[in-house]
Amino acid sequence: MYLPEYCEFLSPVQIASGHHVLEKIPGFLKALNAKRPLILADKGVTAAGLIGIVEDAIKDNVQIGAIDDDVPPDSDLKVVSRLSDVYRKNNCDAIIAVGGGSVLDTAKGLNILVSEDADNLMEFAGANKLKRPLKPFIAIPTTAGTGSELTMAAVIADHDNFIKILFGSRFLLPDIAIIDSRMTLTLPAFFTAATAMDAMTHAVESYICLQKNPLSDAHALSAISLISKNLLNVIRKPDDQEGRLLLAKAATLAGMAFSNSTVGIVHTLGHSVGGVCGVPHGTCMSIFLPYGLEYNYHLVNPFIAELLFPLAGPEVYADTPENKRAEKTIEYIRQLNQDLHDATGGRHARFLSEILNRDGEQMVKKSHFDAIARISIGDGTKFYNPEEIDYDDSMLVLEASWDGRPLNRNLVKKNA
Amino acid sequence: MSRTDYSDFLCPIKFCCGKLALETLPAELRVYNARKPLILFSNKAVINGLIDPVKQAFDDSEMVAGIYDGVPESPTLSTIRELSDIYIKNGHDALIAVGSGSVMNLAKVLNIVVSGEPGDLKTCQGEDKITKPLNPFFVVPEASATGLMANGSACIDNFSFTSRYLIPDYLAIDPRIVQQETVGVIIDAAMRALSSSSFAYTLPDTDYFIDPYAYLAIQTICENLIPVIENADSKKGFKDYLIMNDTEKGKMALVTASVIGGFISFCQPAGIVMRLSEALSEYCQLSSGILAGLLLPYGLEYAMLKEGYQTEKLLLALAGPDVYSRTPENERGKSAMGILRDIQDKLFHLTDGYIPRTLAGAGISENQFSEMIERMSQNDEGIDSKGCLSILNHAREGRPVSDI
Ligand SMILES: [Fe+2]
Repeated sequence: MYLPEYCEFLSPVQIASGHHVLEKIPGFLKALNAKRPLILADKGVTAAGLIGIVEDAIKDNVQIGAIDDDVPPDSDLKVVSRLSDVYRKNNCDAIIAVGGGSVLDTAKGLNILVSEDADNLMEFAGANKLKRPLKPFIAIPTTAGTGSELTMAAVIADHDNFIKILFGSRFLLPDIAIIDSRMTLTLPAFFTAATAMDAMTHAVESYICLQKNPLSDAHALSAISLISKNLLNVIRKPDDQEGRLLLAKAATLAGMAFSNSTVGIVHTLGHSVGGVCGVPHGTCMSIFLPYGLEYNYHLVNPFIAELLFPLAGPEVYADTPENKRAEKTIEYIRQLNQDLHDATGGRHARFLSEILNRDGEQMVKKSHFDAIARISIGDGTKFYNPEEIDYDDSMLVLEASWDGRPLNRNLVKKNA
Repeated sequence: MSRTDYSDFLCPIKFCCGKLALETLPAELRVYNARKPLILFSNKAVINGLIDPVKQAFDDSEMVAGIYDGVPESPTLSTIRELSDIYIKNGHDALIAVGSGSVMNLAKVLNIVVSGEPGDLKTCQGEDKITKPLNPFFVVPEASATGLMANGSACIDNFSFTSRYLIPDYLAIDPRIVQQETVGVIIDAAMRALSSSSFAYTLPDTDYFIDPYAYLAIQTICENLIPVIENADSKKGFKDYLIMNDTEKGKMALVTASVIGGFISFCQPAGIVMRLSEALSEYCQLSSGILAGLLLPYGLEYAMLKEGYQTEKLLLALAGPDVYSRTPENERGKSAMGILRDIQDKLFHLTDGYIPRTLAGAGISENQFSEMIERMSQNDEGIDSKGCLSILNHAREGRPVSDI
């Protein structure tokens, strides 16, 4: 067991999970001394019928203050400010956020304004500016991937000044996360694959990156094993409610792991490819995950080898000689991407040149690489990656992941 | 669909473990906007010299910490009254409890009083009667870490309380504080944690959120308990102090595992082994933790046969993926039980027989079983008398439970 000299672990969000948990929300609100929640979502969530499900599940037992599904994918200060008016006008006393990363981040920002009775969110930007618990806040994730409901951070854009503002405090965390299988039941196959691979990446990176610790490791191993056992089954049989629930639980476990021990190069590059080319986060994660392992191989291959067990199960693990296990782990993840590609009729991209937008056009071009590599150097996640990421390294990984070639590990500069 | 479709999990504690953990206390208090903690030390903590390192951690913090050095082993309501006067008079805004279970217990009750009205002690009695967060409450456990460190229960005189809000906010495990403890106490805490974790980890319907905590506790105890005991100062014998040096990390890990075990037993109803060992401890000199360790394999075998507990899964936590993968599927449960019995056997030898391998060895006679079970079922209607008797009989002779 890996025992660091010093470590910390905190995951204080109450997790209520099952096939019919939404119905328990009125009881949870009551326990939190709240009576009139504002329900927050985006148009996608409404279109998928999820707001209807939430509303039906709770409306008989709690007075809904307002429903607002106008949170854009790149929410900003103005949106948060507008929502604080909605909250106040409707005399709300709690927030229920239904959605993915953007809705969750918006809800966190909103909770600062309404709890601190403030108008200017910028007063609370940065780390640990909040000193006391905020208003009751329930998160209902709808993607089984991002883990935003478990992170103590929120990123909110200021579009007027072209900047992103970071907020960090344990008081931003929701009181309760509701993991209900109905929320992911209708998620399309390729989206299920991408979000699950985001969760997989959270678990894998938390296990190999510098802040790993025994508790985050234990959460990561459980998450990896659950995703590996259930993902392909769910893709092939989308109405498998139990499988969906297990994937959502896995994403929660992965969120608990990485919110404590952070992530590395897969996210570093993923953030910049997302920023430069608008590629969905999960897609970037699936593509870069094997490269992240190859890139750090010389520093952490014993940890990578340990991942073979939760990924591939006891038979493969026993059949693979100890010194081959790390490579087998990487091979296994590549094969998983291939299987997901096949099972989604080719919609799950295996490498960068394969990512297409709705119109069938390539989203990432080789001419983007320079910008991607430059932005990567400034990404906060790079500090927790075992190897020191620089421009050349980023280019090396981008070149290889263009057409799915394995990384030539000899070319990685050994800086760390 | 699984039987227990719904699960509800919460672990509000921030664990902080390792070198200089004490030095994080001031910064963590600031997160809660607390400036003036009252630090409670048990008498034993004072004797063990724990005041100085804790005090020093506040040296550069510009915080004025109040020190109360002498919480008695059995505090009463008048201790609470005295302390709440100090807390309020001096304007404290947080509690830090340093030491063993009794200080933690006292601090929880004190926190109810100082966070609300004096009358709250009456209205907050019982289960889940506390409705909002209390003032910041941090704990710094000694090596005799018991369940009380990380759970939400407390009792004093005739008042008892259970609430998520009694669970500490912050738990700092520092090598300077877990330095010395007797082997008997270490084994008691570890085996108690191993029992609650093993039952939680092998539940017929896996609880995926308790699983990582249970897995870690089992793995840690299995890897570290024997080496730590082997390194104890044998000249002084098991009843005397064990000085920590090269086994420092192992011991830190054990304390962490014991604390996590306490948290797990708060989340899960007490299994048959914990209930039996509590009852048995009144019939002999051994503590309930040590008895739980002895009964554990028998209880698990019984639970596997009766309710489908996944004992095969335990092998992974006890022996790691290599052994687990190499062991044929249908032998994994048996192997796991073998490892548990092996630990018991090693403890027997290492402690010159102080830790018994069988109930017969513990000097408990068969005649006492039925009377004991009778008494148990008077207090606890759900008790499986036949099962209890079977477990006790097998554990008496050291014979695995192979059918029911
Ligand atoms: Fe991610």
